[in-house]
Amino acid sequence: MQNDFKPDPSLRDRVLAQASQNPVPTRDVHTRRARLGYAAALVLSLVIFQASGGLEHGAGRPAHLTAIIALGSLLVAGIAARLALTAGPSMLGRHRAVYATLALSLPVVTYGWLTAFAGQYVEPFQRVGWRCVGLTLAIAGVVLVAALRDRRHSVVHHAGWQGAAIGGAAAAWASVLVDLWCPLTNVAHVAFGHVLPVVLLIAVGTVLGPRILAIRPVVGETGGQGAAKA
Amino acid sequence: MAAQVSEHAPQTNAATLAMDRYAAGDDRAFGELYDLLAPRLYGFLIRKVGDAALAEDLVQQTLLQMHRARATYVTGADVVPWAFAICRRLLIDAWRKQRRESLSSDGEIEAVAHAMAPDLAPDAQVQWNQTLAAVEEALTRLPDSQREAFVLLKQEGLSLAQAAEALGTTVGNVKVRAHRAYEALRAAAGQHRNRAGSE
Repeated sequence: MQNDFKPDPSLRDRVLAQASQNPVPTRDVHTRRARLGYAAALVLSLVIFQASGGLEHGAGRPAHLTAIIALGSLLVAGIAARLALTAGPSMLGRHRAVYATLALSLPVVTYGWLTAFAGQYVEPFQRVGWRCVGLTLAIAGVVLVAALRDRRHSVVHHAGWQGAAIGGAAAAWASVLVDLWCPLTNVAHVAFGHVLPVVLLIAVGTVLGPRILAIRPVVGETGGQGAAKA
Repeated sequence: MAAQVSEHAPQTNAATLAMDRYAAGDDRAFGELYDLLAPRLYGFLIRKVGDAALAEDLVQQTLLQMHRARATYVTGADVVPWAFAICRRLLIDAWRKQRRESLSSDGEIEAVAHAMAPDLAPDAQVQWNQTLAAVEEALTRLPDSQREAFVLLKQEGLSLAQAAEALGTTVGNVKVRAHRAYEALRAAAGQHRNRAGSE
């Protein structure tokens, strides 16, 4: 059962030469850059939130309910970010079922959590939810870009599902700020203004995952002899 | 199979340590990583494609993907299933791109032969070669998923957990795939022996 096949000895030199000609940062440097990227996304999210009216916009709801709703959303966002943005103990990411469960459950959790507070207070105004959709997409878009940039061309398995989970995690983070901003929890508003953008971002992540996250052949860097023959 | 796992275990640990050092900034560790992984990846590929140039190209691309991922390497993560998964992904992409599926199964047949072979007397060699030909035919009829599971476990010496990671599935699923492959090949060999015995 020994492996008797050996590549040409010159392949070693070619591989090492290609690697040295295309330097990549070490883990420490990358970690610092990634943290900087996420910090920038966080600051930009807060700028968008504040520019949209900030906490004052949601002042019509009792403050303690706003705090409870936002804390619950923050917990969901934390779990989603942990599952979607970290690989776990393997370089091949988490099991597909984890990403799928996360992506499929986030809209349901969002809907269930917000509508649980419907009727517990008098809503200060009525809105369809277009601004909530726009704010969620704007904030989550910033986070999504940072996350996809951090993980690009590194995913071997289930890039679509992982993209969906990352889209959902970005939406979950945006939901924390939007829940501080929007004082409405009636069913119709929540379904349109809060759940729809989560679904849209998961769909966007599903589409972008295979295109941005999945590994790509190193075209042009290798000899490509074999690829040409394939 | 347990013997194969232990046979490759030191290499697996050494590869993981080398990748960790490379991620931390030790450039020399990449050469060690190549020495530990390239022959195994090449062996896996050459049995799949039967084309040395393509196999070398994919080995090169796999190692360069690992080089690219240097910064995101998770400390202590098993490198071997990751490397085989990248290798397999690139191979599938190459096949899809070129719309060609060519399989050379000589090495796999050899693996089957070793896995199933009894201690043969020299005069039984001719009959055994005919049996191998029957098994070869059976192997080409196997679904790719079963063949991959069989090769990774029997030929490359990956553990069930490593093979499951490399194939992106569960340990149970790999067991089922490998078992079905093994049973199909065993049945093919048995049928051939029965036919040969009745003639």
